[in-house]
Amino acid sequence: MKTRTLRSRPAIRYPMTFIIPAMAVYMIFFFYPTVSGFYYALTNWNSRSTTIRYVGFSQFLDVLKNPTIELAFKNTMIYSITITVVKNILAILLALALNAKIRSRNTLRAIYFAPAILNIVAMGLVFQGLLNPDFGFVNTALRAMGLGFMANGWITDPKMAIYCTAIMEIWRATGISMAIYLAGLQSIPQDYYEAATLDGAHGWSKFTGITLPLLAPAVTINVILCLIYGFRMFEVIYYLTGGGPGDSSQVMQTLAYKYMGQGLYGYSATINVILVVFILVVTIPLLSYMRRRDSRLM
Amino acid sequence: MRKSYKLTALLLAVLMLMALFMGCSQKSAATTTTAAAETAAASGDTTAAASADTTATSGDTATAGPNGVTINFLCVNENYTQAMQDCISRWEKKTGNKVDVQLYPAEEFITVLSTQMMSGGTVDIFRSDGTKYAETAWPIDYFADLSDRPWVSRLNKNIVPLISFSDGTIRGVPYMNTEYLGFLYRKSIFEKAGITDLPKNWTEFLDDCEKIKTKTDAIPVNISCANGSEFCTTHLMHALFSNVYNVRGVDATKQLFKDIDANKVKFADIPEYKTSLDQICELRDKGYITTDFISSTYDMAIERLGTGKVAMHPCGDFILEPLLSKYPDIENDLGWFPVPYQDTIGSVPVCTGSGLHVAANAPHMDAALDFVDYYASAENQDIYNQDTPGLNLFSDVPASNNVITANYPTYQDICFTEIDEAGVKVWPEMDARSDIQEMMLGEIDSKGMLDKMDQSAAITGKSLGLEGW
Repeated sequence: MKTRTLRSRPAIRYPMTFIIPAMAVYMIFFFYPTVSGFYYALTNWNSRSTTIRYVGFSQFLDVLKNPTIELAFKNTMIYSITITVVKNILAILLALALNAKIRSRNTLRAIYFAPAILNIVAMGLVFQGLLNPDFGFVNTALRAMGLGFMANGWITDPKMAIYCTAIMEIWRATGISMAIYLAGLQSIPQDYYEAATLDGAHGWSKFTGITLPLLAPAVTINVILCLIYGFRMFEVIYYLTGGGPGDSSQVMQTLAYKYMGQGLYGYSATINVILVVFILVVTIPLLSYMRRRDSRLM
Repeated sequence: MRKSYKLTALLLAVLMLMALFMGCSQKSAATTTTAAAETAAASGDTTAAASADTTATSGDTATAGPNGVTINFLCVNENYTQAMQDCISRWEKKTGNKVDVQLYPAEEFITVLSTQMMSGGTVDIFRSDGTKYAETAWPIDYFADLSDRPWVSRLNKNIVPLISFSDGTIRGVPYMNTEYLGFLYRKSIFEKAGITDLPKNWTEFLDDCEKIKTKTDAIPVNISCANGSEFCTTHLMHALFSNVYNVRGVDATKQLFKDIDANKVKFADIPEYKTSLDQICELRDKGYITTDFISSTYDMAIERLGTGKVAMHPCGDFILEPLLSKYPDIENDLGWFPVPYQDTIGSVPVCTGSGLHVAANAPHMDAALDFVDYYASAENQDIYNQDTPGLNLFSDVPASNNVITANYPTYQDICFTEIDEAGVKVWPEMDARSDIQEMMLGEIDSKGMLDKMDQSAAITGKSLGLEGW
């Protein structure tokens, strides 16, 4: 019979030494607050009372009846879909361009990725300056070029404010999607392109027949990440428009923050729970569909 | 090799954990500028509370002397006045204690203070938007009862009702001027426009605006509605809303506010409020306001009034310190009058100004009380009044007037309003600021704004569990 020694015991203790602290941090700073959020969403917790009263799901109905929620939800969808579509189209084009053998491609890759690592607050300030209707760079430049008719209210125009925030996010984060697509492009074997060339395929055929299908996993990742990120966006909107003018660019997260600032913590938690449920309802089926599609294409 | 790899990995894991928890440690003294402060600076609102977040000390690092303590003071940027900074310096020199001032954006202050009070024993003193109505923002248990402090008996009699809580106790003391809301104007522009008498009703006011518009280069009225500066325009709203006292009488108005809290009356049902908002819209429709109001900030308002680009700005005393520090030469050119309402001279709402409070669970209660006692002392108030004239709290300290309060006695018997609507629990002040942006942009009319205020009140009333909601 083989005698078990210390050396032959499964080496589980050692990995656990590293996992347990990370799990502890995860439980304390993520899991517990998340579960607490679900609990507090069922209460009337507020800053003006020392007691917390359970109110149940009636608060969810109150939130859904709030007219501003409808606007915030609509803005969240507009923002999320706009950035997802535009970012992915631009990112694919940039990735294709920067995957080509051009001399400065590494420098250009860094340039296009750089906005992703900049501080969002600083960018919010920059874009506020650019898009100010009276002294902003954009309108000033348009007027100087005789294109004053194109000068707009931008972030002060209730109809345009949410799109301006989308523009800022597209400028900021297209580089991240581009990096993911670049990685996807570089994993496509060149043999396929050579074989296609031998068969007489031209550029567009190669793109639709080889590149896009084999980029499907990268598309899935990017679309899902962009959608989730868009649904839960807070910083870009808060630091560029503050949800204004009025409530015209409020999204779900900025609205939750607004009510939290007013001391209505339970109400704010309810908005967040509704957002979480919505994100799950949208992204899980979408992810499932896109993964099945990836399998078919590949 | 395997052993050294494991040891290295273990060491790295420990270092990472240590770094993580070191980030959570308290700083004894720090000056940090957060994103919100950067936003405030770049948007021009260097004094706006809405987007400032700095942790500041009174000068050197907040370290008390060998026998002193460091007390914690939570404040918002716009309320951390030079006068208060100087008062803190004087107390620190006198006692050897230190004050660690922590500044937060206005829209986060309620939450920050509530969090700290609930977690217990981290706040010594804090400010509020209004000394009397601080209890509408936080439970009364958060405030130490100051009724038996030695300075209470020295308070001016007319100040006591303005700062007493609903249970009759005194739990704070104003440290910013009681604000008399009205129009601060440039006399030279009025003279140039040929205006010899101040308007006594809304029609005369509109005529004066027309004269200013046609005979001078100045814009009649400044309106600032940029994010974080909308309070400028809600001050005009409050000034006009206060006419409900003149129309209905004080007792009826107090009952009206109780009915609003009990959901028996809606904002949209109050004709004085609709008329007030219609007047503001009329200024816009007739072209008497700054056209870039939606991007105009508080700092821009100060610049425009100081340089004479606008003739009038709706505000209270709080504007005088930053205005005159930048444009000291205009002090004698400044005048003030109430905002006219319909065919009356208008009403003057009196806000008690930001209050100084001691936390009920202050970790350094004795030092905190000592600071407030020092603030209220005749010795300090004498100097404080010179730094910020117009704040006449104590009967034994010579009163001093500023440009606005010097005019006030003219109107005192005509239109004094004792209490403002800040005492209404469901009053949607922060929502009103964004609603007024929409109204000024023409997205909603005056009734639409009042409807939105009613919607916000419903959310608050229901969340607070008030009767009737």
